[in-house]
Amino acid sequence: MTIGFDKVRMEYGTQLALDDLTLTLASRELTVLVGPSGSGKSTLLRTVNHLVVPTSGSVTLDGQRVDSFRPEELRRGIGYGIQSVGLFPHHTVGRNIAAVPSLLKWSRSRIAARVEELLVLVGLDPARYRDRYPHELSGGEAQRVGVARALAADPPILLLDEPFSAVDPVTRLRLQGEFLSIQKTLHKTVVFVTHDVDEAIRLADKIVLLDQGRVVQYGTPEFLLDHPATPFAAKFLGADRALKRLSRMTVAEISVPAPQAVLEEVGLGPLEGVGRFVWIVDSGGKLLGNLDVSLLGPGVDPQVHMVPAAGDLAVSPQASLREALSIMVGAGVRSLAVTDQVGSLTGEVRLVDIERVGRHLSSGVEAAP
Amino acid sequence: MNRGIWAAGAWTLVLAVVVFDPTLLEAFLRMLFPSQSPLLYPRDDLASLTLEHLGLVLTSSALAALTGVGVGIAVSRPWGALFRPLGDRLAALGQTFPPAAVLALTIPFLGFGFGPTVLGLWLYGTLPVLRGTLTGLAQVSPAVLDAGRGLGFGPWGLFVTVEGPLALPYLWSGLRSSVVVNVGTAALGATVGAGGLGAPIVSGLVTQNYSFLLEGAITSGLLALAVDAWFGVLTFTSSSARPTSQRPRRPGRAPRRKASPPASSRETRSPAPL
Repeated sequence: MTIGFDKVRMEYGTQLALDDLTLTLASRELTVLVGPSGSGKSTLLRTVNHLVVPTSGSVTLDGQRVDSFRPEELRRGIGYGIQSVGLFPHHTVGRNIAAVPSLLKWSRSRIAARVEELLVLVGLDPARYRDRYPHELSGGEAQRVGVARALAADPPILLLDEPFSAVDPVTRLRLQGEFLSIQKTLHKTVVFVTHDVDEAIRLADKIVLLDQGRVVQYGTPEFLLDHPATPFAAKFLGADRALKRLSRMTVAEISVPAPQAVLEEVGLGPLEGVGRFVWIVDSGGKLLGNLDVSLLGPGVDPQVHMVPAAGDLAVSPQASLREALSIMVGAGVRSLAVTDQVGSLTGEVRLVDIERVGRHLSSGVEAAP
Repeated sequence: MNRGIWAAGAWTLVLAVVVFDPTLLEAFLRMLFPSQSPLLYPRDDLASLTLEHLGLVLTSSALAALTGVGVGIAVSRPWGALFRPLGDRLAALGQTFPPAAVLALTIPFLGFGFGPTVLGLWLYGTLPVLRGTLTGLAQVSPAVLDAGRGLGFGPWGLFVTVEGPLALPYLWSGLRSSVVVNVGTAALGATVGAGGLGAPIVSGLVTQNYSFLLEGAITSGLLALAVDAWFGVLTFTSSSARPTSQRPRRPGRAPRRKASPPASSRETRSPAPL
């Protein structure tokens, strides 16, 4: 469902929260509203379900003005989740999730089935969690229930206002990952507010960068990182934009075939088609380590000189380039082996390639300010 | 919860024994005041005095509950927000104002008897209920209300499902102290001729018959303990204990009646101590 904002203006007394903001959010995309506090991102989000009534301008859903609906009915068709979750403390988890379906007068059995389905979707065991009360949940569990409650009536639109910012960083990363995979299957039109640039970059299909009630820039995270429109955008996205850009790319995207040799065959003859360093695998293709070929000589046991690949020389294909670069810097190496789950060598990722990608990306950055 | 029922039942039984079999109380008073005669207030028997007393308390507390809860809810709504500071100040004023003063102030307008006493008790009893209602509604987390609104609850639905139940424990304890204090304060009604258990007390003071005084004091004390214990049977905690403990006690009540639970539940409960 397309969300349109047309010259939306919101004044609180003399304070201007939204300044004639015009913007169209694409259907079935995850759009992240990001900006410093006071930039109007939460206010903008809340105009969509009419919790905030703009001073002037219009907000439309597929061309229909939101103020043409009864507010309660509008909101029942839009999922809503907030930072402090706002679970009803006197209702069980199950009853909290059932809030909107109950308002919509679904049958008992349909509600029960839906609650079960949603708890599974957000990774909570229905049998264990359905009858708990909110005060018996950890922060992360409460957030999951909050997301489940927002999804309960299967609304086409989901509004999430900093839903993961009240939990610890580790839990937040996990929740973000889980939410991404949920979104991959559900394809809701999601509007997601955060002040955390990394979260925005991680989750967004499109980012809306807001400042003082105005849209500074709208586009894919890659585009914003490559071409920040203003000095403010460049500053807000951070001096480490190139690194952040790398975090959107995976090792698999730039990995190349690895020069490799089977351990048993090393030393039997000259190694063909490899440079100074070669990855050593066993006969099954499993990565063993890295070998400096120049150290080899007649009668030298290759195993003596082989650096074993104890975790810090290999990455998974799904790892981000940022992680790969970090490992290289930390270990002081110029390439990493790419291995699958069982440890088989599938390729290598080289520092030169990361640098090439990074240079290419940052050329746009230089041009902008 | 079950212990609460036992306590309430026990106090009620003691009260009933004292009221309906005055010989026991008389024997006890004779031990204290062997030379005193008569030992018991002669003009009215204890049962009708207690009934009169309860009549005063029930009437005034019902009115106090309705006004306190009503005003508390009204000033907490957006349309009543203008009067919110006034409500807060009234609620705070409550405990600084002696009930005798309220009675004294009402006599010039209503004269002596049942009317001015009920009015005095009503006004005095409203304030704790108002205070409890305001506190209860104010402590509901704004995030919970925002989430409720965002999910699509209308103002009425939000009140009935979220605000009301979450405010209930505070409201209930306000009502409880209001009624219990009223049981004691109602004795003052005797000074303006409203009868009740204050009658033997006042008469005892005037005639220096401390046996009369104790008769009234013991009985109204027992009444207060019994009423308080019955309130304790229904304790509301805002989270886990409530739904399971509450459901079987209030069968067949339509959800919308939850808006004024104290008045209705007190009316259904209070006859029990008799």
